[in-house]
Amino acid sequence: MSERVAVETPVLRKNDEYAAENRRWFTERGIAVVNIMSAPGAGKTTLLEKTLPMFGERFRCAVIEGDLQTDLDAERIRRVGVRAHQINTTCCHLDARMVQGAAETFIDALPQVLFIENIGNLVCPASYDLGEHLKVTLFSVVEGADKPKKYPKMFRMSDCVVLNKADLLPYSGVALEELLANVHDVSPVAAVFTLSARTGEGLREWVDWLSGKIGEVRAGR
Amino acid sequence: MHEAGIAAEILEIAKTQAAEHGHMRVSEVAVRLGEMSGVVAEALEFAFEALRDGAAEGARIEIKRIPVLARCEACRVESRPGADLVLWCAQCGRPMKVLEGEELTVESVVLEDGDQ
Repeated sequence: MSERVAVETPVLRKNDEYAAENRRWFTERGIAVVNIMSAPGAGKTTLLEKTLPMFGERFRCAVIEGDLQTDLDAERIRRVGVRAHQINTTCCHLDARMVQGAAETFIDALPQVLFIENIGNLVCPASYDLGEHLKVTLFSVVEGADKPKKYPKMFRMSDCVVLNKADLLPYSGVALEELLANVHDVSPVAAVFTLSARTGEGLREWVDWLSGKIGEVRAGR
Repeated sequence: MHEAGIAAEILEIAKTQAAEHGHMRVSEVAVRLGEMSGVVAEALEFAFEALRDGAAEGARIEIKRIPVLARCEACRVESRPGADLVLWCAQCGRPMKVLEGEELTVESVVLEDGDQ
Protein backbone atom coordinates (compact mmCIF):
# COMPACT_ATOMS: atom_id res chain seq x y z
CA MET A 1 0.00 0.00 0.00
CA SER A 2 1.16 3.47 -0.82
CA GLU A 3 -0.14 6.81 0.40
CA ARG A 4 0.72 10.45 -0.08
CA VAL A 5 0.82 12.35 3.19
CA ALA A 6 0.67 16.15 3.30
CA VAL A 7 3.53 17.43 5.46
CA GLU A 8 3.81 21.22 4.94
CA THR A 9 6.83 21.54 7.20
CA PRO A 10 9.51 24.19 6.75
CA VAL A 11 12.78 22.39 6.15
CA LEU A 12 14.56 24.55 8.71
CA ARG A 13 11.85 24.22 11.35
CA LYS A 14 14.27 22.89 13.95
CA ASN A 15 16.60 25.84 13.45
CA ASP A 16 13.65 28.23 13.54
CA GLU A 17 12.53 26.76 16.88
CA TYR A 18 16.00 27.27 18.35
CA ALA A 19 16.05 30.79 16.91
CA ALA A 20 12.70 31.65 18.50
CA GLU A 21 13.99 30.33 21.81
CA ASN A 22 17.16 32.43 21.45
CA ARG A 23 15.20 35.57 20.59
CA ARG A 24 12.97 35.14 23.63
CA TRP A 25 16.00 34.54 25.87
CA PHE A 26 17.87 37.58 24.54
CA THR A 27 14.84 39.85 24.66
CA GLU A 28 13.92 38.90 28.23
CA ARG A 29 17.44 39.82 29.32
CA GLY A 30 17.58 43.10 27.41
CA ILE A 31 20.29 41.87 25.05
CA ALA A 32 20.15 43.38 21.55
CA VAL A 33 21.60 40.93 19.04
CA VAL A 34 23.09 41.97 15.70
CA ASN A 35 23.93 39.37 13.04
CA ILE A 36 26.59 40.63 10.63
CA MET A 37 26.83 38.74 7.35
CA SER A 38 29.06 39.14 4.30
CA ALA A 39 31.32 37.35 1.87
CA PRO A 40 34.81 36.47 3.20
CA GLY A 41 37.10 39.48 3.30
CA ALA A 42 34.42 42.18 3.13
CA GLY A 43 35.66 43.60 6.43
CA LYS A 44 33.32 42.31 9.15
CA THR A 45 36.02 42.07 11.80
CA THR A 46 37.53 45.44 10.87
CA LEU A 47 34.07 47.05 11.04
CA LEU A 48 33.60 45.57 14.52
CA GLU A 49 37.08 46.65 15.65
CA LYS A 50 36.21 50.23 14.66
CA THR A 51 32.57 50.21 15.76
CA LEU A 52 32.94 48.70 19.24
CA PRO A 53 35.20 51.46 20.69
CA MET A 54 32.80 54.11 19.35
CA PHE A 55 30.12 52.80 21.69
CA GLY A 56 32.43 53.73 24.55
CA GLU A 57 30.64 53.29 27.83
CA ARG A 58 27.20 53.36 26.27
CA PHE A 59 26.74 49.59 25.89
CA ARG A 60 28.49 46.55 27.30
CA CYS A 61 29.23 44.48 24.19
CA ALA A 62 30.29 40.95 23.38
CA VAL A 63 31.01 39.24 20.07
CA ILE A 64 30.46 35.72 18.78
CA GLU A 65 32.88 34.96 15.95
CA GLY A 66 32.21 32.27 13.36
CA ASP A 67 34.95 30.85 11.17
CA LEU A 68 35.90 27.52 9.68
CA GLN A 69 39.32 27.62 11.32
CA THR A 70 41.40 29.68 13.78
CA ASP A 71 40.46 32.09 16.56
CA LEU A 72 42.23 35.01 14.90
CA ASP A 73 39.06 37.09 14.75
CA ALA A 74 38.17 36.55 18.42
CA GLU A 75 41.72 37.62 19.27
CA ARG A 76 41.33 40.81 17.25
CA ILE A 77 38.10 41.66 19.08
CA ARG A 78 39.69 40.99 22.48
CA ARG A 79 42.47 43.39 21.57
CA VAL A 80 39.94 46.24 21.48
CA GLY A 81 38.82 45.23 24.98
CA VAL A 82 35.63 43.36 24.15
CA ARG A 83 34.75 39.80 25.15
CA ALA A 84 34.64 37.36 22.27
CA HIS A 85 33.78 33.72 21.81
CA GLN A 86 35.04 31.89 18.74
CA ILE A 87 32.97 29.21 17.04
CA ASN A 88 34.87 26.98 14.62
CA THR A 89 32.61 24.95 12.40
CA THR A 90 32.94 23.16 9.09
CA CYS A 91 29.47 24.50 8.24
CA CYS A 92 29.18 27.34 5.74
CA HIS A 93 26.95 29.31 8.13
CA LEU A 94 26.14 29.66 11.81
CA ASP A 95 22.88 28.15 13.02
CA ALA A 96 20.70 29.02 15.99
CA ARG A 97 21.88 26.09 18.05
CA MET A 98 25.55 27.09 17.75
CA VAL A 99 24.64 30.62 18.81
CA GLN A 100 22.76 29.31 21.82
CA GLY A 101 25.82 27.43 23.00
CA ALA A 102 28.10 30.41 22.40
CA ALA A 103 25.80 32.92 24.13
CA GLU A 104 25.84 30.77 27.26
CA THR A 105 29.57 31.37 27.61
CA PHE A 106 28.79 35.01 28.51
CA ILE A 107 26.37 34.01 31.28
CA ASP A 108 28.55 35.36 34.12
CA ALA A 109 28.30 38.93 32.79
CA LEU A 110 25.65 39.22 30.11
CA PRO A 111 26.26 41.86 27.44
CA GLN A 112 23.73 44.53 26.50
CA VAL A 113 24.64 44.14 22.85
CA LEU A 114 25.76 40.88 21.28
CA PHE A 115 27.29 40.97 17.81
CA ILE A 116 27.43 37.78 15.80
CA GLU A 117 30.02 37.77 13.05
CA ASN A 118 28.72 35.07 10.75
CA ILE A 119 30.82 32.79 8.55
CA GLY A 120 32.04 34.64 5.45
CA ASN A 121 29.53 33.59 2.80
CA LEU A 122 27.06 35.67 0.82
CA VAL A 123 24.54 32.85 0.37
CA CYS A 124 23.98 30.33 3.15
CA PRO A 125 23.87 32.47 6.32
CA ALA A 126 20.78 34.23 4.91
CA SER A 127 18.73 31.06 5.36
CA TYR A 128 19.43 30.64 9.06
CA ASP A 129 17.59 32.71 11.63
CA LEU A 130 19.83 32.93 14.69
CA GLY A 131 17.36 34.68 16.97
CA GLU A 132 18.94 38.07 16.29
CA HIS A 133 17.06 41.38 16.36
CA LEU A 134 18.95 43.05 13.53
CA LYS A 135 20.49 41.66 10.38
CA VAL A 136 23.28 43.58 8.71
CA THR A 137 24.75 42.74 5.31
CA LEU A 138 28.24 44.07 4.84
CA PHE A 139 29.45 44.34 1.28
CA SER A 140 32.75 45.67 0.07
CA VAL A 141 32.35 47.89 -2.98
CA VAL A 142 35.16 46.07 -4.79
CA GLU A 143 33.04 42.91 -4.96
CA GLY A 144 31.21 44.47 -7.89
CA ALA A 145 28.02 46.44 -8.51
CA ASP A 146 26.06 43.44 -9.81
CA LYS A 147 26.31 41.21 -6.72
CA PRO A 148 23.18 42.42 -4.87
CA LYS A 149 21.16 41.21 -7.87
CA LYS A 150 23.05 37.93 -8.06
CA TYR A 151 22.78 37.18 -4.32
CA PRO A 152 19.59 39.02 -3.42
CA LYS A 153 18.38 37.07 -0.42
CA MET A 154 20.84 38.35 2.16
CA PHE A 155 20.38 41.95 1.04
CA ARG A 156 16.61 41.63 1.01
CA MET A 157 16.44 40.24 4.53
CA SER A 158 18.71 42.82 6.09
CA ASP A 159 17.72 45.82 8.17
CA CYS A 160 20.88 47.53 7.06
CA VAL A 161 23.36 47.23 4.21
CA VAL A 162 26.84 48.61 4.87
CA LEU A 163 28.99 49.24 1.79
CA ASN A 164 32.57 49.03 2.98
CA LYS A 165 35.97 49.88 1.47
CA ALA A 166 34.66 53.12 -0.04
CA ASP A 167 38.28 54.33 -0.02
CA LEU A 168 39.00 51.77 -2.77
CA LEU A 169 36.26 53.04 -5.10
CA PRO A 170 38.65 55.06 -7.32
CA TYR A 171 40.69 51.90 -8.01
CA SER A 172 37.79 49.44 -8.30
CA GLY A 173 36.12 50.32 -11.58
CA VAL A 174 32.82 50.04 -9.69
CA ALA A 175 30.27 52.81 -10.09
CA LEU A 176 28.86 53.54 -6.63
CA GLU A 177 25.57 54.84 -8.10
CA GLU A 178 25.02 51.53 -9.90
CA LEU A 179 25.79 49.52 -6.76
CA LEU A 180 23.46 51.70 -4.67
CA ALA A 181 20.69 51.34 -7.26
CA ASN A 182 21.03 47.54 -7.22
CA VAL A 183 20.96 47.41 -3.42
CA HIS A 184 17.90 49.65 -3.48
CA ASP A 185 16.11 47.41 -6.04
CA VAL A 186 16.43 44.18 -4.08
CA SER A 187 16.31 45.62 -0.58
CA PRO A 188 13.76 48.44 -0.57
CA VAL A 189 13.56 48.99 3.19
CA ALA A 190 17.16 48.57 4.36
CA ALA A 191 19.15 51.51 5.68
CA VAL A 192 22.26 51.87 3.51
CA PHE A 193 25.61 53.29 4.58
CA THR A 194 28.72 53.79 2.48
CA LEU A 195 31.89 53.89 4.55
CA SER A 196 35.46 52.81 4.96
CA ALA A 197 36.05 50.89 8.18
CA ARG A 198 39.79 51.20 7.56
CA THR A 199 39.95 54.99 7.23
CA GLY A 200 36.95 55.70 9.45
CA GLU A 201 35.17 57.73 6.77
CA GLY A 202 31.39 57.43 7.15
CA LEU A 203 31.57 55.35 10.33
CA ARG A 204 29.77 57.91 12.49
CA GLU A 205 26.48 57.71 10.53
CA TRP A 206 26.47 53.90 10.78
CA VAL A 207 27.24 53.93 14.51
CA ASP A 208 24.51 56.52 15.15
CA TRP A 209 21.96 54.46 13.24
CA LEU A 210 23.01 51.28 15.04
CA SER A 211 22.88 52.94 18.47
CA GLY A 212 19.36 54.13 17.73
CA LYS A 213 18.23 50.68 16.64
CA ILE A 214 19.86 49.00 19.64
CA GLY A 215 18.05 51.48 21.88
CA GLU A 216 14.75 50.59 20.23
CA VAL A 217 15.36 46.85 20.63
CA ARG A 218 16.34 47.19 24.28
CA ALA A 219 13.32 49.38 24.99
CA GLY A 220 11.16 46.59 23.58
CA ARG A 221 10.02 48.54 20.55
CA MET B 1 26.82 25.13 -0.27
CA HIS B 2 24.48 24.41 2.62
CA GLU B 3 22.45 22.04 0.44
CA ALA B 4 23.89 18.98 2.22
CA GLY B 5 22.56 20.23 5.56
CA ILE B 6 19.22 21.09 3.93
CA ALA B 7 19.01 17.61 2.32
CA ALA B 8 19.74 15.98 5.69
CA GLU B 9 16.88 17.96 7.30
CA ILE B 10 14.50 16.97 4.48
CA LEU B 11 15.41 13.28 4.87
CA GLU B 12 14.91 13.50 8.62
CA ILE B 13 11.45 15.03 8.19
CA ALA B 14 10.51 12.35 5.62
CA LYS B 15 11.71 9.45 7.78
CA THR B 16 9.89 10.82 10.80
CA GLN B 17 6.69 10.88 8.71
CA ALA B 18 7.17 7.23 7.72
CA ALA B 19 7.64 6.22 11.35
CA GLU B 20 4.66 8.27 12.55
CA HIS B 21 2.36 6.80 9.91
CA GLY B 22 3.58 3.22 10.40
CA HIS B 23 5.12 2.82 6.95
CA MET B 24 8.35 1.07 6.07
CA ARG B 25 9.56 3.21 3.25
CA VAL B 26 9.56 6.70 1.72
CA SER B 27 9.40 6.60 -2.07
CA GLU B 28 9.03 10.31 -2.81
CA VAL B 29 9.53 13.64 -1.09
CA ALA B 30 7.93 16.73 -2.64
CA VAL B 31 9.68 19.98 -1.78
CA ARG B 32 8.65 23.56 -2.61
CA LEU B 33 11.72 25.62 -3.38
CA GLY B 34 11.44 29.37 -3.88
CA GLU B 35 13.69 31.02 -6.44
CA MET B 36 14.89 33.37 -3.71
CA SER B 37 15.35 30.63 -1.10
CA GLY B 38 19.12 30.70 -1.55
CA VAL B 39 19.12 26.97 -2.28
CA VAL B 40 20.31 25.56 -5.61
CA ALA B 41 17.94 22.86 -6.86
CA GLU B 42 20.62 20.80 -8.63
CA ALA B 43 22.91 20.82 -5.60
CA LEU B 44 19.98 19.83 -3.38
CA GLU B 45 19.12 16.89 -5.66
CA PHE B 46 22.73 15.76 -5.64
CA ALA B 47 23.00 15.99 -1.84
CA PHE B 48 19.64 14.26 -1.36
CA GLU B 49 20.71 11.33 -3.50
CA ALA B 50 24.05 11.07 -1.75
CA LEU B 51 22.59 11.15 1.76
CA ARG B 52 19.36 9.14 1.50
CA ASP B 53 19.44 6.09 3.73
CA GLY B 54 17.33 3.90 6.02
CA ALA B 55 13.61 4.23 5.29
CA ALA B 56 14.38 6.89 2.68
CA GLU B 57 16.91 4.83 0.75
CA GLY B 58 15.83 4.96 -2.89
CA ALA B 59 13.47 7.91 -2.28
CA ARG B 60 13.03 10.41 -5.08
CA ILE B 61 13.00 14.14 -4.52
CA GLU B 62 10.44 16.16 -6.46
CA ILE B 63 11.40 19.82 -6.45
CA LYS B 64 8.70 22.35 -7.29
CA ARG B 65 10.33 25.67 -8.08
CA ILE B 66 8.34 28.71 -6.99
CA PRO B 67 8.99 32.00 -8.82
CA VAL B 68 9.07 35.26 -6.90
CA LEU B 69 5.69 36.97 -6.48
CA ALA B 70 5.55 40.42 -4.89
CA ARG B 71 2.66 42.71 -3.96
CA CYS B 72 2.46 46.43 -3.44
CA GLU B 73 0.70 46.99 -0.12
CA ALA B 74 -0.45 50.43 -1.23
CA CYS B 75 -2.07 49.79 -4.62
CA ARG B 76 -2.46 45.98 -4.21
CA VAL B 77 -0.76 45.29 -7.55
CA GLU B 78 0.91 41.88 -7.70
CA SER B 79 3.81 41.16 -9.99
CA ARG B 80 6.52 38.65 -10.76
CA PRO B 81 9.72 40.70 -10.73
CA GLY B 82 11.69 38.24 -12.86
CA ALA B 83 15.43 37.93 -12.93
CA ASP B 84 16.26 41.57 -12.20
CA LEU B 85 14.34 41.40 -8.90
CA VAL B 86 13.21 44.99 -8.72
CA LEU B 87 11.06 44.96 -5.59
CA TRP B 88 9.51 48.38 -6.16
CA CYS B 89 5.99 48.97 -7.39
CA ALA B 90 6.00 50.03 -11.05
CA GLN B 91 2.77 52.01 -10.50
CA CYS B 92 3.32 53.97 -7.31
CA GLY B 93 7.03 53.50 -6.60
CA ARG B 94 6.59 52.03 -3.12
CA PRO B 95 8.48 48.98 -1.82
CA MET B 96 6.79 45.66 -2.49
CA LYS B 97 6.27 42.74 -0.16
CA VAL B 98 7.48 39.30 -1.27
CA LEU B 99 4.56 36.85 -1.10
CA GLU B 100 6.12 33.81 -2.76
CA GLY B 101 9.58 32.73 -3.81
CA GLU B 102 11.27 32.19 -0.46
CA GLU B 103 9.78 28.74 0.22
CA LEU B 104 11.87 25.90 1.54
CA THR B 105 9.17 23.49 2.61
CA VAL B 106 8.51 19.75 2.60
CA GLU B 107 5.09 19.68 0.96
CA SER B 108 4.28 15.96 1.05
CA VAL B 109 5.79 12.50 1.17
CA VAL B 110 4.76 9.25 -0.49
CA LEU B 111 5.00 6.36 1.97
CA GLU B 112 5.01 2.68 1.12
CA ASP B 113 4.63 -0.64 2.90
CA GLY B 114 6.94 -3.61 2.44
CA ASP B 115 10.60 -3.58 1.60
CA GLN B 116 10.44 -2.67 -2.08
